[in-house]
Amino acid sequence: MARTRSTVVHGRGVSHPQRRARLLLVFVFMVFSLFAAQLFRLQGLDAASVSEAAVNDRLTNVTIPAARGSIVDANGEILADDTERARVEVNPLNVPLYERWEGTGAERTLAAEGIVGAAADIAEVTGADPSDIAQKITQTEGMYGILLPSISPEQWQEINDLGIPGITSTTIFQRSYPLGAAPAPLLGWISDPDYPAGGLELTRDEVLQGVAGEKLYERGGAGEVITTGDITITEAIPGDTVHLSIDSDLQWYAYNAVEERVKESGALSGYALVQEVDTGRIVAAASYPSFDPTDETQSAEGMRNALVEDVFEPGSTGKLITAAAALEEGIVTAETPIVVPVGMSRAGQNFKDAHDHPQQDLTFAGVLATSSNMGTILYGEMLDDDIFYDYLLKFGLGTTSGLGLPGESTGVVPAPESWSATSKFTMMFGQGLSSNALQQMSVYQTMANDGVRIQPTLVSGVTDHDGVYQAEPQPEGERIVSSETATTLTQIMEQVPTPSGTAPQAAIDGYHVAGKTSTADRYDPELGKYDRTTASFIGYAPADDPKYVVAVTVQRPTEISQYGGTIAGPVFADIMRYALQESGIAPTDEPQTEVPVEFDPDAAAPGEGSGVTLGDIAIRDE
Amino acid sequence: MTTTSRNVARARKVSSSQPQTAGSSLASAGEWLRSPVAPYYLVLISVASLVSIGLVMVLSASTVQEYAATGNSYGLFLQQLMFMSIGVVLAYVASRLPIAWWKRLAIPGLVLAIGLQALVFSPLGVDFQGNRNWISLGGKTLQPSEFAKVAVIVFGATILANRRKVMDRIGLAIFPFIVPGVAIIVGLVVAGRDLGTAMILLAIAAGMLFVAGLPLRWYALFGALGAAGVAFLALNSDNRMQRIDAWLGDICSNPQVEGCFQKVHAEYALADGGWWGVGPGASREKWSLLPEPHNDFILAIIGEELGLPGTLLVLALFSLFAYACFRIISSSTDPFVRLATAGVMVWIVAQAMLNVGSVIGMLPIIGVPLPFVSSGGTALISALIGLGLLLSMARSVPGCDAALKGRPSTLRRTFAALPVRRSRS
Repeated sequence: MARTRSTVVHGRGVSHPQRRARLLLVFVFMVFSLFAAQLFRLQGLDAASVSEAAVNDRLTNVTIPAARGSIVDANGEILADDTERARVEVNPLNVPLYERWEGTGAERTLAAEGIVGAAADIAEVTGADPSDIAQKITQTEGMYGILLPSISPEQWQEINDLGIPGITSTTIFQRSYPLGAAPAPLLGWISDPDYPAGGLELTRDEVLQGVAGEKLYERGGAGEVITTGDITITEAIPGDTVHLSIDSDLQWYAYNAVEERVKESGALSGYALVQEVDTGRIVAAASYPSFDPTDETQSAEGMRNALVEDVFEPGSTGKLITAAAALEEGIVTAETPIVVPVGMSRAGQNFKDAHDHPQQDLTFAGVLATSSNMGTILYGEMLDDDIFYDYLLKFGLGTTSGLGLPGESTGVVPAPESWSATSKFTMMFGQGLSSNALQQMSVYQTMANDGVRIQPTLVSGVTDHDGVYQAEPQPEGERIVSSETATTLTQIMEQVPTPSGTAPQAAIDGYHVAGKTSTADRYDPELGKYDRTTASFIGYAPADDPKYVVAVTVQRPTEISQYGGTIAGPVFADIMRYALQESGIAPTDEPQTEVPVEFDPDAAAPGEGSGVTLGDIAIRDE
Repeated sequence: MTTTSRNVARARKVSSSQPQTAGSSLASAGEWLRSPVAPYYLVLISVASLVSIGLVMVLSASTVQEYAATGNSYGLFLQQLMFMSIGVVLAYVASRLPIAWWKRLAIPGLVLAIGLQALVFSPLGVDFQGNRNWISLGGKTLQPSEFAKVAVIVFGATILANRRKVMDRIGLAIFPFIVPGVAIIVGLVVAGRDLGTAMILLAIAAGMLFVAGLPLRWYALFGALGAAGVAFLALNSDNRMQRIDAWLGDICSNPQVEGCFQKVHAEYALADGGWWGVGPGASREKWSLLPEPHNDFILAIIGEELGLPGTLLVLALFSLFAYACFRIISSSTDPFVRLATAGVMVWIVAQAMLNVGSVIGMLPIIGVPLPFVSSGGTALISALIGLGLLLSMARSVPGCDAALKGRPSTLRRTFAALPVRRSRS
């Protein structure tokens, strides 16, 4: 090789290629050494801080929404639950870039492009009108707008696969209520965005609400998750499941029954409640009119929970408290003779019964069974004011029912010191005081449960997101009247819904029913005076071992009738029959206990001296 | 022609002793490096390694964007594989082409290159990212300026080969090589606004004149002219000024600063990789963040996934390539061989420098692909033709061809590249 080099002839000032090439090589090595040093700095010395800036630049977080807890009935049937949906959003500036090609190679054709093409392809998936969608895109201002408020995740998958620029989605949860309007006032409703409004949705929000999660990830230039990058996912914790004592079937049945009755009687509204006697649990609580809980716009009026917000004068069903107090205080027995006059006057006011009648010789049982106002005053006025008032309170009037539903009204039970001259007399037959339907039903539950009152409950327990069930504390029963008093009143009330009683419409074939009608004068707040009636029937069955209390109230019926027995009685019978059959209570063919409702004024009074007749010792208007 | 036959005779003489030393004794690495076959194999090894790294990294860097765009992650990779196959075939053909043939092709090649380059301005031309440097033929696009590089090298080597002794006469030095040859091509490329390719072409021409022995005083003049030309072109373009500002202005505190997006994301990628890399396939910046991850910025992705060893390996392979070229120049006696080799060397190395310098922030972002590594069909094919030319030159090094032909099989010839113990014969 050396020989080759020496043979080269040098030109004038012309350098040898070998030398020049060596210079070139040295230059190359120098530059590459500098580059290596720079790489050593970038990838070694300075890497940590720059890499941190890089990760921070890419990191982004998205909230993972938590599903709201379900509300289920006593059998686990869904009353309210969350469904995953997709909300489609649009950046109208990017949509015009959309292109969809079909075929391959030379046969490739542009199948859709721009806003019109995108709208047509989206409409294909959702079944909407393409021009509507196109219009929505073009009318969106700025860089963000909601294109489709809620579509199924499957539909979103199809739209996403189209790869339309500027079309993105957010996972949302939508509340659904399979029973619709039937339990709506009870359950409440979720407004947009995710704000519980009314009912159990509001009162149990704390447990129903889940905890939103978060996904922290490195985001690529197209907004995608960099799968090889840092991803930290804090899973959302779904809300807890709230178990109610409600029975869906019964709720549905009761709602339909009351809806039908309100409509055919031209009434204002109606309620139907079913309570389990032994436990105080509410099995159905329906009111009509109701509302559609999936409708995003609701009026405050439409969302009222009439069951606990409506208070009204109970009327004759209130006589049960007067009767219980008189029995318990030893003023009367079932057989106590009472002479009911044609008319009478107290504190300057005339009192009459619902139907005019000649003077009647009724027992105490007969006064209650025929719902005589005057008879009730005759024995009731023998009660001390404070004792009577105490009984009203002990039965739960004037205090909330304990369900804790929003907006519950306690009703008004005036204290003796504020009574007017006639207050005591009207309150004895359930006028001049007010309460809600639940409170009134509770009085009947007490009698049905042998004199022990149990506060009504609606929530039986909560299952948390780990599946652990925690029962709600159930209220202790409280004895209000003796077992004897309760038994006596039950036997008396068994006389009402019989073919010969005042409310034959409330009778149920094969079952003994104890109950009471009421036709109360209704105070109309709009007119500012009493106008028309509140028609109710409250009762329980089977009378010898009651399973359910059912309370039916119809406000301001204008057609068919205005009387409780006629209007509310059949609805009561309907619901009670359904409830008894559903729970498999066997009918009985035992004869009903007969309680004498009238007395013979000439018969000898037992326990008195000879010659003293019942007519002599009878309570009468003197 | 007499020179050539004498060379062959000398080569035969050397080759007669060659098989014995290589085959009968333990060939140490040093000894092997001094052998006439060494440049041939060094070129082959360095280029094969770069192409292999390139294929793997093009696959890794393009999958995400390919999938997003077409639903098929492998589209670009398979295309690249196809281009490589074409390039390997052409390289093989070129490596078998005798020197006389190269010389014969010099003028037709240049004319063809000028013709193709002019087609850019015909309706066949395609605009791409602000440059008009592509033509579209039957659905395929190609970049004629890539082939022009080979044409300029062969033309220059042919012209300058016989002017060794008159290189101090500037007229003979530049005519007809620089004017009109290089000037027409560069003029067309600059008209297409592809400053990067124009710079490579000028570097090739300057490098060949340098090795040919052009007196250094002319470089002062040409350097001044070149600098003025670059400055003129840069000042005439907001885009270019922005790139220069991003390079020298120290303004790139984050990727949102105007003109800093690529630079900062390239830094991010290299820093993410750090010493040892995030692992093959695990790049973050290739997720539609760093632009051109499989093309101009593939080195950043190599750095991110393979770490500092990855980027240093790429530099080492280009250095090895440069060394191999130097060995061909220094051990050949044929001026054509020396100049053609110098041309290919300057082409590949200068382009690598511009590319790497851009990626690591030591140069403004010029936008040239990394030779043998970046994706891009025409660039890879023409670079592989350049490889074929080099191999053809390497074979002409005294003793090389004979040594290669002395080996009975391609397989054994390949093993000859390895400094390992061979079985006794």
